[in-house]
Amino acid sequence: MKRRVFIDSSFVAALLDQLDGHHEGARVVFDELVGEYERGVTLLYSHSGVVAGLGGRAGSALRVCEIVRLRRWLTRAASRVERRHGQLGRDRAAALVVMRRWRIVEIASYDSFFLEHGIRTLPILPGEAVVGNNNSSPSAKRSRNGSARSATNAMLAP
Amino acid sequence: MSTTASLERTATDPEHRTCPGVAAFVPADRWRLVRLVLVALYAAGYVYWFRRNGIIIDRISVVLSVTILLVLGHVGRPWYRWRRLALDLVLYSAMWLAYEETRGAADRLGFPLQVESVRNIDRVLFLGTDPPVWLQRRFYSPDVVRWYDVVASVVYYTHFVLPVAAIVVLWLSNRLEWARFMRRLATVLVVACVSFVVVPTAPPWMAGGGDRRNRLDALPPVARPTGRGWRHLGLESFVHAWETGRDWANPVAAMPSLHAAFSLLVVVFFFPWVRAWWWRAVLLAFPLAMGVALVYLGEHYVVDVLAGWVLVSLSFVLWGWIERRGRLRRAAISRSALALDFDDSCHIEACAQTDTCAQIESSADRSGVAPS
Repeated sequence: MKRRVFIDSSFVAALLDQLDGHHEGARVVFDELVGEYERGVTLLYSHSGVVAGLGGRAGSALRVCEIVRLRRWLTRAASRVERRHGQLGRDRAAALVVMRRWRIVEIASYDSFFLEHGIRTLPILPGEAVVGNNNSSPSAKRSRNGSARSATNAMLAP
Repeated sequence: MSTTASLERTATDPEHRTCPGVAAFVPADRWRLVRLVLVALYAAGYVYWFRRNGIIIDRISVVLSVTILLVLGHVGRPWYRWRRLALDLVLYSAMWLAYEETRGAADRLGFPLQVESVRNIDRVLFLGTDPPVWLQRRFYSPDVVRWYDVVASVVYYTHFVLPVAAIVVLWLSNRLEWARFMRRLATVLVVACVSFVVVPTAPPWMAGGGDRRNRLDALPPVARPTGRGWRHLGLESFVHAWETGRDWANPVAAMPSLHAAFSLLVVVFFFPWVRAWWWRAVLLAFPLAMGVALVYLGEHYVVDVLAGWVLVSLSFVLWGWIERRGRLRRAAISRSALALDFDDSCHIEACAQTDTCAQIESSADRSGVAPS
């Protein structure tokens, strides 16, 4: 069975934004993942909200990913999960639903939420931690709190 | 710890079940249990049918039974999966019916029947010996059913179950892998169908006496004891169903051997997924056992078996190359997108052209984070 990794919006935002505090780390990890993808070892997944929310360049960067389209069933499932767990937000909910349905156990993300809840989170690098609440640069915060999540939330909104 | 080491560590973890952290938020699909019950009922019905009426062997019945199983396995799934299922089933049915059609095409087009050419290749390979005749002279006894007769029968009949089971399991569990499997299988099937039409070949049982319809004497008499292992197990109806199906199957579809091809195809496909060495040994032994069984039962020459294996190898090489090219191309696009010099102001400018990106920026503004 091939390794499956979900790429979330905070990771893609760090990947695309040179000014993001995690840009270099994200690039190193993504390069490794793409190398594994080339060798056929790893399958990468994302959902279309990430691509749509982060613009055309995200689409090109995520060409290696299987993009799960935000169909009605996914937005509904994400809404249900979000209703049940208020702290989640739709972006995280959609990511979790895709991970559950596709049996993906790893996520490439700079959102500390996943790590805190026992989900195996990349990157695990020396000096490059998954962002917590108080250890990130302003630009990292921007990509984490602002652009990435709100973009996908906008896409998920009914 | 280096990046590579950390990635490799996670890559080798055998964990592919749902992560508990994910499961804490997203409940299991409530239809899953319903599907499991339905599929279990289907399996029970299949076993009952198997005991009572024998194996489902003709292609139309196979297509119908697969359709029923896939429909049961899709209860409660989203509509887009149903549409995809319908399309896949049409393609799947077309593939098998095309195979069935080769019988008529072979008769209509009238290509010459190959009898001695294939036998001669076998004789060259085995220094003047006919492997089916040699094996039957040493091991076959018309009056006594030995253990290897039963094994040969069982291995032979796995052809009618194993590839279909692999297709269904892959379809229900992982459509990407299903597509990989089907590409290879369809390639083998298409090439084999063309070969059945252009090079109709008499199998050893026909070349060595044949039946009431096809009498040839290119070999010393060769028996066709394919079903007696099952008879020995008390599954007479099973053999009867196979003999009925055999009557309207293409009797000269021998080159290449699809039995040999499919057994190797399934093994090669699933081999990388198997870690335990004993399972790997069993897997590798299976196509070999199939090859020996086919020759011993008088169903195929050795060269038919080898042709089937070569065809599978070529199919894997071809599709492996195509898929690798696709992966490299997508990876190159991905890398080039990230290698471009990127100016944040350009990003904002580009984003502002779409409503969605405008929402991104306004949302960022609202959150009090100034663009750098």
